[in-house]
Amino acid sequence: MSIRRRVALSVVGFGSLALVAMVSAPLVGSTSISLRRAFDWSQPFDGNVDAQIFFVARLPRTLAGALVGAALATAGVIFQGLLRNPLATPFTLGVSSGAALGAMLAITFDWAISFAGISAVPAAAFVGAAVAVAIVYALASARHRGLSTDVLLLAGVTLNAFFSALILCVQYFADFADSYRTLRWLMGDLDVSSYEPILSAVPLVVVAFAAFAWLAKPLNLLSMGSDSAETRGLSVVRAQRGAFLSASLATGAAVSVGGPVGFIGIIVPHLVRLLVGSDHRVVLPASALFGAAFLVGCDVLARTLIAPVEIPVGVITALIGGPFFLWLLVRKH
Amino acid sequence: MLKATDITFGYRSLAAPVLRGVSMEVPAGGFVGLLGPNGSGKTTLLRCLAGTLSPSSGRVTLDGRDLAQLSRRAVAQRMAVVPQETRLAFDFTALEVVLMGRYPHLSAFEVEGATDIAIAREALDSTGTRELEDRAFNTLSGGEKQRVIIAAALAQLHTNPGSRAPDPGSRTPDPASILLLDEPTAALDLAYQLEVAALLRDLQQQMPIAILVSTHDLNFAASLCRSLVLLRQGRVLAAGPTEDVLTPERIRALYGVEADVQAHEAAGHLIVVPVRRIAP
Repeated sequence: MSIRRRVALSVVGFGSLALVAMVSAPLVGSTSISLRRAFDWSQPFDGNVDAQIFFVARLPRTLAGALVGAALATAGVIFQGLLRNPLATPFTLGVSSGAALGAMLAITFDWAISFAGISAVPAAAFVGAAVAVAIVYALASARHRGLSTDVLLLAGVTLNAFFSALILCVQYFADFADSYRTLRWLMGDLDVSSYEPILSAVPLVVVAFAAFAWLAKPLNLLSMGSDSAETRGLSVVRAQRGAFLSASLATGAAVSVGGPVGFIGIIVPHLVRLLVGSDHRVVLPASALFGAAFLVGCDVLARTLIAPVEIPVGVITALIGGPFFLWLLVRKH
Repeated sequence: MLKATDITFGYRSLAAPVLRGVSMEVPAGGFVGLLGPNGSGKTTLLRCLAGTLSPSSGRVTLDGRDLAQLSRRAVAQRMAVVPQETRLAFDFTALEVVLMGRYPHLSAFEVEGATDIAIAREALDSTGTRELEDRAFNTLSGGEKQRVIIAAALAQLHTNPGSRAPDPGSRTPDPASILLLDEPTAALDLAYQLEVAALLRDLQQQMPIAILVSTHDLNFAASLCRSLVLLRQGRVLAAGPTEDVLTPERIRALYGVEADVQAHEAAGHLIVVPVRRIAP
């Protein structure tokens, strides 16, 4: 089957899945709402509870889930290709711990500043992610022609541990309410309650996705090793830099919206590869769509499993992802 | 013609340079063997010739043009490399692996067309791996993998005639193209070693490409190569036609091994029998 056909088929397949998830998610929840009443414009919005639930609570939440799911799933694909390691995740290289430190500083010290219309916590999370990326990138570029993926991995893992220590340190001095808010943020939360964080993340994700489209073929070549890729005509260093920076951008944007929702970046790419093969030109669009569908679906479970109590969506993805990850590990051998 | 002129290369972590003023050439249509003990700089020299390493001094030229001045793409259209071993991070099929050889002939977002697929299948045919095209590369045996990688290199060296018409005559590799192989049989057992040797011999007879192969296997080199370059401690010890270069004296100088070199009737080439190691 030609590559165009494979892309078209997987986009149609995973696209309809994403569409079904996104259309049905806002209708499901602890309070049942009527679509007809939600879209009844003759009533004032302030008095229309159905419309409020639909447009203020559930629709932005669904859109956030789709955006975060698509960004984390594709960032996972890119990091796995870059590190040539199928067990890498978007958080392996320290992006999420940087974001977590930023977010928790903003929460603990009650930073009220807002940055370009974004409230303090997502802005601080994004800046933290950028700082972590800059440190890891600088380390991996130093003393090496190009970018050393070994140093990238070691620096990322070490930075994760170091930032976690700083997070614990700040936690220790924080009061109970702030600690709870931080913990809640770390579990991942798509309850954005407005469109602003989504709108400010969309341009970043669009830029990252444009880079991903260019990276699909280079990542195929890189899976043979960087020397083999280079002798086939690829500018390896440029591809590696592009992959690291664009996947970090997508991860940072996603984490600033929904917190570090785990396991999306590993479950989704692997299931997709099982179904469509390893060619990144198919895997990337399929992972974006399936990632969106998967996280929106997990969020529905989070909202409804023991309603009216909500389970953090990160707990749901971890409950599914943990055993899945172990299964992958065992299956490899 | 691929030519190295007085090239020097040192890794930063090592005090002594690995290559010290190496000059050698791979003539068009030539079959050159690169011999030398471990650490003599064979792989480093191959990487400099392939352009994945830049020598700290000296020049590598491809048909008179400096390799450093050519784009990666332009070099890749003319020169392909077969490494010792290839391990894929993901499960690609053999056909997908061979199609990756077409990368330097396509623009950034261009998809492989019918011509590219025909070229890839033809390359699989000429390495006897056509029936493996749908198999996952990582599940193939060592010898099969190596033949598929050689097929990918052949697909890479096909210049695209630009016509969509299937015309097998026009889809042969460019006569000026070069195949570099870095110890292609090091990880293979005897049967696969002979298989790869037979494949390379056939390719050279059927296609007008130049081949440079580095190896530790003196009999492999003697059976295939028309000329040899002996590398010791980063310098060229000797270079020339195989019959002239492969002598007991040179083998002693190269490896510190006493060896018997004879013409073998049945095999049709020189054979080397190592007798014993002598103190260096």
